[in-house]
Amino acid sequence: MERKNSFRGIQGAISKINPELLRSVITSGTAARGGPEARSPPGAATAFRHATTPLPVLTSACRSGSKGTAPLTIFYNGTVAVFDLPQDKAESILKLAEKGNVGGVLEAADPTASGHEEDLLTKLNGELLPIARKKSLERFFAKRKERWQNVKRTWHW
Amino acid sequence: MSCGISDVALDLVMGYIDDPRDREAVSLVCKKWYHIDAITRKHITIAICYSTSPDRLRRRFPRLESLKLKGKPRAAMFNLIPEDWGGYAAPWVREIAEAFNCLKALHFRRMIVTDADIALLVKERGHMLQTLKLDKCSGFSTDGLLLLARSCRCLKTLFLEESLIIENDGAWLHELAVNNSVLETLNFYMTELRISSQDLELLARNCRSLISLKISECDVSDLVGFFRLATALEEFGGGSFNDQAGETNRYEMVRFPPRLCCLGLIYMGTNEMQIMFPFAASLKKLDLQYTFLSTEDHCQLIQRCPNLEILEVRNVIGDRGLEVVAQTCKKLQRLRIERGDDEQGLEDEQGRVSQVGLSTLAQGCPELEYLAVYVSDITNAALESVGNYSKNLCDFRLVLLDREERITDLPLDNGVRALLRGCTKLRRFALYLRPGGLSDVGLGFIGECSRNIRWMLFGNVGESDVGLLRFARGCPSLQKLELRSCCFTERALALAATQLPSLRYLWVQGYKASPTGRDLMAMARPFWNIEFIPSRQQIVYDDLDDRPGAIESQAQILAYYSLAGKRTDCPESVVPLYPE
Repeated sequence: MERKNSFRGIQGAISKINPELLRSVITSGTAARGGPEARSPPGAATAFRHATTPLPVLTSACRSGSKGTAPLTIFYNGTVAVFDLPQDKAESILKLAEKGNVGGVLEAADPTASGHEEDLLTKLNGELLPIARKKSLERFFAKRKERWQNVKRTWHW
Repeated sequence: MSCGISDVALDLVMGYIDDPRDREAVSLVCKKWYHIDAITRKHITIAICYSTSPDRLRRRFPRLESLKLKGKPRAAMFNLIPEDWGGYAAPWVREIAEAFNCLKALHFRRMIVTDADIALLVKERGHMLQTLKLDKCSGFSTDGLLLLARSCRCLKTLFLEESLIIENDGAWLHELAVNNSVLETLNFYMTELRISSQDLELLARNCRSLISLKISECDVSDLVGFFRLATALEEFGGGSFNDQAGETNRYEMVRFPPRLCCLGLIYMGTNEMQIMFPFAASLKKLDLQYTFLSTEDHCQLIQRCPNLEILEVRNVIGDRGLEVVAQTCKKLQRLRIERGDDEQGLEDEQGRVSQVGLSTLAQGCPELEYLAVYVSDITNAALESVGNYSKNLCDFRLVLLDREERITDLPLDNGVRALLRGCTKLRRFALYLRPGGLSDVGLGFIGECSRNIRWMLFGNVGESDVGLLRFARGCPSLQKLELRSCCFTERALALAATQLPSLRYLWVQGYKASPTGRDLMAMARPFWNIEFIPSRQQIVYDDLDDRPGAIESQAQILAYYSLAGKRTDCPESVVPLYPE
């Protein structure tokens, strides 16, 4: 139960972190895992990507990525996520999972993390949810984006 | 004789009493009045379809002429409710088919309606159905629409807005145009249905009373013929603009019908805006939520619209645009300012609404009855302004966006209190903030100052259970409460639910769960259904690209009074909770 709460803490907390900041903690190697890139909800960064294809199992072939990173596999609530992390980052994450404190990780990763974000995070215990988006507007934004991408494609000729 | 009034007189007098609350009071006087109310009540709205049963409805109101049923919780509009949660129209349609032989108007909102349901409805009631609204529904296809189109010749209103419809073909519209001559309102706005403009022209020719048409995306330049024929049209929504590279006069030929006063055009951009100018001064209702207009465009357009009563925009309107609204739109009754896209560089830089715009608006538009706004910054003073000037406000909703780190003036305790004290007609109230946005004291203020408020939505309010319990000591009229992302414990939620005297519906997502979930049972009592939706990972498929996205959805509690007993149609994602 304890463990579960702290994971929820990470999830909820991480979803509020500036995505740029988050990327500095968890490398972009995560995007490649689990088949097609999971699309994160706008305005939130999802630490745990959902594996939609048969789970990528850790094999010795992918043991060590570039720059001395290794896969860290996290099982939570019926989902699996795999991250390519250097040793120290992996240890930080494991430590904070035990403590349920996200503030420490951010300090380690980026000493310039704003005080406000830390305050926000220390107040959290997994309850802070990203503001929900209305379906109708979501669809509009997706279509708008697609139109712009089409225009770009046309003009690139 | 009842109180010295003859039955005949009573019957006649009751016929003038429409307000459901008055009717409720009337029905409680004595058995005779209950009976007369029962046979003369014309319309019933059932706020959650599981609160009663079709059978009970029939037994009490056998001569019902108009029925509105709501299924899924409101949160479904934000993708927070599993698609299979429930809200099936089938049992209601069966009862309607069997027994409600006076029914002329039917409205299903956020429910699951199948083609079979439509077939049964059409077979038994199709000959007298005048209004059918399948509003944000799912489960049916264009085959169902075809049946409706062929058989319901009295249909004056067909409303399908934002429904998820399986599309087999566009024949339904053609059939509607051919078989119907009394249609006044047709709405398939925000659906993906593909239709032919020729069928719309046929509709315009045959339905001379057509006053409102809201469609899915269909290039506006293809509608020139339709607009020429639909001379009675007052409201149009939908369409789309698709500027091809190099084409400059694609929309030059577009002339809107002479009586048009309500308009909402999708994907309209700066270059196309001027087609509205000739009749902008007669516009009463304007929807710019799905346009590509900049802040400056909003200013240019709105300053030509002094008769605007209803305006819907995204926050790209900015404080500058709100200033124009305040100066120009003195008759404004309803204003909705939606949230823009989060991604950088996609929205106008000036596209932020703050306390500045809000205060100016309140002072400039005293007729405001409905105000919903996503703000980037806020102050207590701005809320006080609303309390001072917006005396007609019945519905106020404020969401504080989470992009800015620093907000000018938090907590909003005093401003909220001033607003609630000033806006005495307030019936609906929503406040979505961030931690620190409203203290426990502020929550207490809301409890004390919300005499007439029936619905409330809160996000990130309060600091602890103390706040919630203070709140729950007040709010005498609160019937429906939605809480999201708050810090309250299960125990406090359960306690508050039992204390609020008028509460009949509670929805919560994001709370401090107890280790065993037993604390929730503190609110268990007869006729109170409690449903638990465990947290889940939802795979959402984007319509446009096939890549799946994952949405983590936190656990939810839904509780409501019901005379129908336990739900028997819960899917796996919903766990009904009952005390042992």
